[in-house]
Amino acid sequence: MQKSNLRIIAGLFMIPAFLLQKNLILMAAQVIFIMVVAVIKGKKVKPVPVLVVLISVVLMNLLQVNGKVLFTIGSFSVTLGALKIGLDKALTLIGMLYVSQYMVSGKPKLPGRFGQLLSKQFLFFEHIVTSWKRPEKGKFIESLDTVLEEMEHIYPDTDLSNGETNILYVKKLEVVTESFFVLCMWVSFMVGLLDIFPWG
Amino acid sequence: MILETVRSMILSSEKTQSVITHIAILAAFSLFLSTVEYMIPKPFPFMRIGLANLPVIIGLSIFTLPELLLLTVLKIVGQGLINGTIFSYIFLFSAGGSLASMVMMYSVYKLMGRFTSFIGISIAGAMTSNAIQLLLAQFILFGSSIWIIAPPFLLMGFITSIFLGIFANVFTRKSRWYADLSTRKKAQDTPLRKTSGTEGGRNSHAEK
Repeated sequence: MQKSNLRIIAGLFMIPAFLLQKNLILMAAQVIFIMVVAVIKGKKVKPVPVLVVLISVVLMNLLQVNGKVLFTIGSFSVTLGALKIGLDKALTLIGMLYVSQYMVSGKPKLPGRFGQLLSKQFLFFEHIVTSWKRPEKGKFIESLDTVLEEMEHIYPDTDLSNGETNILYVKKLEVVTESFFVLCMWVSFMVGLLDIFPWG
Repeated sequence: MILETVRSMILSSEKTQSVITHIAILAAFSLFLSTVEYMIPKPFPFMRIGLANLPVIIGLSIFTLPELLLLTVLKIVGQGLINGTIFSYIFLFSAGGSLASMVMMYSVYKLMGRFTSFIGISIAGAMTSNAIQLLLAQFILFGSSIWIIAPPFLLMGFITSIFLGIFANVFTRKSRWYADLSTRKKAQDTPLRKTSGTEGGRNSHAEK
């Protein structure tokens, strides 16, 4: 199996264990776990956007009164049902975002011609990023033109049928590690089924 | 039908390689702009300026509908892979907004291209994209409370799309690369297609 595809497969196995989780406390634990995994795999976790998403989604859902009133702030009632729905949606969004980050951390290669076209796009992107220099004042379009023209000359109309190179294959240890991550997600899901935690 | 054309376009080797290369260049440009936008601080993570839509706006006067569709799909998938959102709900927002906006901009360009500049086209695209994203947000995340933030969200989209449209107008007027590409594309298309009134404002924006 190709190394780049291992995390995609592991992530696909993690998703049901996460989406089927009904307990909010365990769901939060799964989110923290997947964030840690993403960091281990070289991705960055930015706490501010995560908190903004969490707070904004919960607040928006609190506007719809649902279930037992927990407390009131002026005329605004905070209800348990709305809080649970808000937390569920926010955690799902954040969790899926980091599952996705984890899945692409192995730099997967999409198969077929479309995959090759994507590779070509990334080749051009890399060229723009590396050759882009801060433009002089009022010469932004000229700078952009230079980069765009360069690409056509450096990389002329290459055929997409070129074979793939540098394929790395999976080692046993990597399979064990990724399987462990998947297992942790499923154990957490199973614990949720036992109904021993509140907020189920 | 359109998908079949896109498929055959990717598969054909010689005739369309040049077009494919230009699509890949604009898709890469879109990724670059998306990275630039990512670095600009925003009060909310879901708030977008839409800089990455610029290549699609520019592409309206160069590409056919299947070519534009391929460019948009490359933009969506590329962004999803770079930002790591391809398997998340955010990808759904991006895909829904981008595809709807592309179809709207293409329609406006074809039907009213003679009467509107890239500013009008950009506004139409941004409003469509924002409306679709609000609808998706209503069903997936926020519920009906989303409409509370709809006015500032749409206003923000309206303002940024004006700037994007102005930039597209300036770019198509000043860019050597764009002028060269338009000329080549025109020469390529002439024996194949007869330009008619329904062709809208093809290349007319560059002269505005």
